[in-house]
Amino acid sequence: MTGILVVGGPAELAAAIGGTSHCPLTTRTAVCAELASASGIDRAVIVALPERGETLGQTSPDAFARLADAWLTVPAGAVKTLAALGQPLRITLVFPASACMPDHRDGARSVVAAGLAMLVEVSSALPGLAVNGVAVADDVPLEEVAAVVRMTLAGDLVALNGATIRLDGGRDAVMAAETRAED
Amino acid sequence: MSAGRVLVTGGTSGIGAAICRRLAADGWHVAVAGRSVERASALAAEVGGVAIVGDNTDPTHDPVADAARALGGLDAAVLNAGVILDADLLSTPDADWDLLLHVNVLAVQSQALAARAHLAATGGSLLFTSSDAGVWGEAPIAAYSVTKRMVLAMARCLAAEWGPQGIRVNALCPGDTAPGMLTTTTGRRAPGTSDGWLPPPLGQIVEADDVAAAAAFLLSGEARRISGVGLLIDAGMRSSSTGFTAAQEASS
Repeated sequence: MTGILVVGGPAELAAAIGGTSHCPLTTRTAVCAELASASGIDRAVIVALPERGETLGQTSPDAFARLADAWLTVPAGAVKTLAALGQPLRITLVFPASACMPDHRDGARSVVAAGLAMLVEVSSALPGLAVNGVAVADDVPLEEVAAVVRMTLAGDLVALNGATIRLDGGRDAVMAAETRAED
Repeated sequence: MSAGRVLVTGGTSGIGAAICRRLAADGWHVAVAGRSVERASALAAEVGGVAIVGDNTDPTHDPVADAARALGGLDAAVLNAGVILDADLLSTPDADWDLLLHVNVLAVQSQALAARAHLAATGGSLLFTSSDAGVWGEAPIAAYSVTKRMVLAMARCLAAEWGPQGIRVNALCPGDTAPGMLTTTTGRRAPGTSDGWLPPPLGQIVEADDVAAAAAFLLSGEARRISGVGLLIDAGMRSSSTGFTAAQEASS
C-alpha cells in the first residue's frame, strides 16, 4: 500500500483515517484538476457530508440545485477522475445516513445522499476500482467514522465492493417511534 | 364526468404518451406536455386534451402553471419527462451529467413544488417516473441510475412531507419498456424494437401500456391509501440478481 488521499471533510477526520494527503471538496473543476495529477495513492476517501437542511418542499429549486452541485456533482467528478487514472484504487465515499432511509424533515439532503449511494453502486463496476460507501448519522463520533472507513480501505477485503455501511446506531433499522410521535 | 385534470410531462412519446392515452380513456382531462409542438398538439387533439409546449432545460418553462391555467386547476401531475445517456461513469461527459441532473431531478423538484398548491387544493396526487435502474443501478447507464434513485427518494420525502396536506406521492419504476426512453443527451432517437433485449422472468418485455395501467391505478381512488412507493413494472426482472436468466432457462 502507498497513500490515502482524502477529499473533503475536516482535517481531523482525514488525520484519523490516516490520510497522506488532503484536499478540500470545492468545485468540480478544481477537484478534478487536483486529482488528475494525483500520484502515489492506492486509496481515496471522498467525504460528502453537507449540513442538515430543510424539507424538500421548503428548499427552493435554486438552493436544491446548489446542494446537488456541491455535494453530488463534485464527488461524481472526483470518482470519475480517479477512475481515469487507470490504476487499481479502493475508494470510499462518506455521506449522510439518510441515503439509506430518507428523512423527510431533512429531505433535500436525503435526496442528494440517495444519489451518492447510487454513485457508489454504479462506480463499483468500473475496471480497477473497488468503491464503497459509509452512510453516517450526524452524531456519530469522528473516530468511529474513521475506523469504519479504514476498514473499507483494507486491501485484503477484495469482495467488499459496491456496499454501503450504515453508521447510525441502528436508528433506521426499525421505524423510529419517536419520529411518528413528534410528527 | 371528468375523472380529474392531469398534467403529463414528457407526454408526447413512449411511456408518457401511453399514460396520456390511458388517462384520457379513463375520463381524465389531460394536459400533454412536451418539447414538440407537432407531437403535443397531435396527441392533445387525439385525447381531447390541451398541449403544453416547452423544454425542461428552459428556466422560464412552467408546465404546471400552464396546465393549471388551461385546465382550470390540477388534480394530478405525472412528472415523467426525462433524458438518458448510455454510458458508464467514466464515459459520461460533465455536460451530460449536468443535463441529466437538471432534467431528471432538478426540474422535477421545481415542478413538484409548483404543483403542491394545486394538489393540496384538490387532495390530488403526484406521480414521478423513476426507473428500475433507480432501484438497482445499472453501470452502463450510470448517471441515469443516480438521477432515478434521487427521484425515488424525492417521492418518499414528499409523500411524508405533503401527506398531511392530502397529497399522495408515488413513483413508477419501469423496467425495459417498448416504446420507452426516446430522449438522449444527444437528441431524440427513433423508437426501436425490443429485438435482442433480455426477456424478463415473465417472458414478455414490458410495454408502455403496462406502465400506463400502473399510472392509472396509482392516480385512481383505488390507490387512496398508497403513497411513498416506487412501483416496479419490470415483469420480474429486479426480483433476482439473475432474473434475466429465468426466461431463458425455462425455455431451454
